[in-house]
Amino acid sequence: MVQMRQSTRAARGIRVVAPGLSWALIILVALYIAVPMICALAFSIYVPTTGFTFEPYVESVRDPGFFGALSLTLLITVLTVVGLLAIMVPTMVYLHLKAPRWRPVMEILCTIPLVVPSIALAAGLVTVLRSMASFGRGSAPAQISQLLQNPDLPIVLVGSYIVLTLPFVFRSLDAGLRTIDLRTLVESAHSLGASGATVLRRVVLPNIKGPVIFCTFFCIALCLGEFTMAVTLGYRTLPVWLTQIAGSNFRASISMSLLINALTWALLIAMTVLAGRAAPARALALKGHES
Amino acid sequence: MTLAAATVHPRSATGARIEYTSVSKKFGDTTVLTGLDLTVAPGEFVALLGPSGCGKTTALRILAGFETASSGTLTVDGRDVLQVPAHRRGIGMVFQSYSLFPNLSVADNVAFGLVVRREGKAKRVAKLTSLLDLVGLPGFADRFPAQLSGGQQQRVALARALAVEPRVLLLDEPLSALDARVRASLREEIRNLQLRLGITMLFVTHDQDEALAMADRVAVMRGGGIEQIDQPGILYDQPSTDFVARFVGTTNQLVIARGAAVPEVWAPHRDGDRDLLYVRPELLMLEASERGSAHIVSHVYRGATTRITAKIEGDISHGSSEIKVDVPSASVTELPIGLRVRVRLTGRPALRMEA
Repeated sequence: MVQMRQSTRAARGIRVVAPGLSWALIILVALYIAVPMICALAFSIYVPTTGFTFEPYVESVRDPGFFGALSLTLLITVLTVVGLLAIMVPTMVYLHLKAPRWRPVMEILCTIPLVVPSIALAAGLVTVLRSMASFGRGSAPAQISQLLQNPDLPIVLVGSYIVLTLPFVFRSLDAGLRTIDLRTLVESAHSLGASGATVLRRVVLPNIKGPVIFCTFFCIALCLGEFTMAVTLGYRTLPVWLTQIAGSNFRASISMSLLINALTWALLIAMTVLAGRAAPARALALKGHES
Repeated sequence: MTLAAATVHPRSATGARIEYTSVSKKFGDTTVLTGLDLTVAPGEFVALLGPSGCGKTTALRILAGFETASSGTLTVDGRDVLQVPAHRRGIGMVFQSYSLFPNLSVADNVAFGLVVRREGKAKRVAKLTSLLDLVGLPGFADRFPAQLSGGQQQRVALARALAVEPRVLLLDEPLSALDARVRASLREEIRNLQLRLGITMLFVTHDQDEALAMADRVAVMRGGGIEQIDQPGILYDQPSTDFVARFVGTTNQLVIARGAAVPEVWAPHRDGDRDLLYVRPELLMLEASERGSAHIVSHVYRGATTRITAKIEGDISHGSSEIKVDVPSASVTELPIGLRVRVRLTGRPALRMEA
């Protein structure tokens, strides 16, 4: 088996790197990521004058702005994930089945958020919202502008975050849909009596589970950490609140940012495990095929 | 060309009647179907046979609801289906590529249509057992598609399509991706199934052996229309056009004088008005003869018979310049390569046309 693997590697022209070197690289990268976090952790739990303490964590959670920021961020996160998948999965399926010629156009459109800085996007949005509001109180554009900026349910922020994830989500879903025989699967399901929604839910989604989980994770990570758009549009999400308390209680802000970081990592690991579980049938099946 | 179903079929209990009337299909500037007329009797098995690009798959996909027709009407049991979405037509389909849902087990694949129709669990389980028996895969319920061979996958696909009891089943080259032996056995099984269940089946293939072996009638298609539709025997023995004569089975085109009687011993006719005789390889004999007009150039061994190719000497402006003849393999030694031979006709030509 090992021999076979090596020979196929050789056949592909891939040089086999000495295992020692690859481990060294992995350790280097791990250090690069871990050292700042360890320092931050040390800083947040050790005060030179008083010794070890969890006080900064308690303080940050006790801050009157914390729960408001947390609940707003979680609400935005949930809405963004749901909105993103509800819009992008059917769109991508449609693109693959009915409008493959428009794929390059879509690809370019979805890449724009990557090349335009988010501060520019935010500034543009603010200008549009303001000019809509300038139609005067009670006018339709002003009402729409107000609805979008509802402080308890910032639709404008949810929409912006969906746009920000597009470059990655497009590529991920696109690749996922290419690996399956989408047309045949969809047509089989139709001929068995499944309507469009049923086909999406029972056939398409389960077969692009990996990319969907990746998109979900990516979207969550973005929503938990995005600062520029939120602060420019004037919402007090978790990252915005963090920078605000950093001025008065620096240690608390560090401890909180560590907590958020840990949450993100926990989500990443959970998603990786989930994605791994999404394909056991196929992995098993492949084994069966080889024997 | 209007083609009524040959006879009212005896096995008409469950199958539906299909009627294409002047169905045409254009993709942009290209016309794929040019006013297709086809009637399939309830419980009949019709094969659509033709080279790639002849419109056979498009005809099938329009019936399945995956393509729209540019004009014409299409009815199933008298009901116009062109406006009905694919998932409400109740027409089963088996595809060329493996179409099983890779995330579902065999059991869940077969039950898919029943789940979508909200059938009870008891019924699903009973159906599953009987269907897996029917396609010869009992005990495979818990496997996943990637654990099955190509032939097994197509059997499951068949079971899945049959689970919802369609009155029409469409097969789009379901055997093309399989190896020869599996193909031959599955071919018979599909035919037997169809006879047992009495479902109307429309089968698309480019493999003439498949079409001739399985179908009640074979429709030979060309350029978006039906060239000829007949029972396999008639299609083979009495092709109505030279295209059919050449596409179905092998033919030799022998040149004779215009209006002349079919000769017993044939020699190429080179001047004046000429006719072409289309003769099957098994209806020709090669005899050693010093004054013969051809000499043997190759043998291809095929088991019971050997196909011998003889080259005709001189210039042949119409007809074949090589004659293909099937002889019992035991008698090949009498016809060595290089032997000068003459050509004897032992049966009726399939077709006679002006050259």
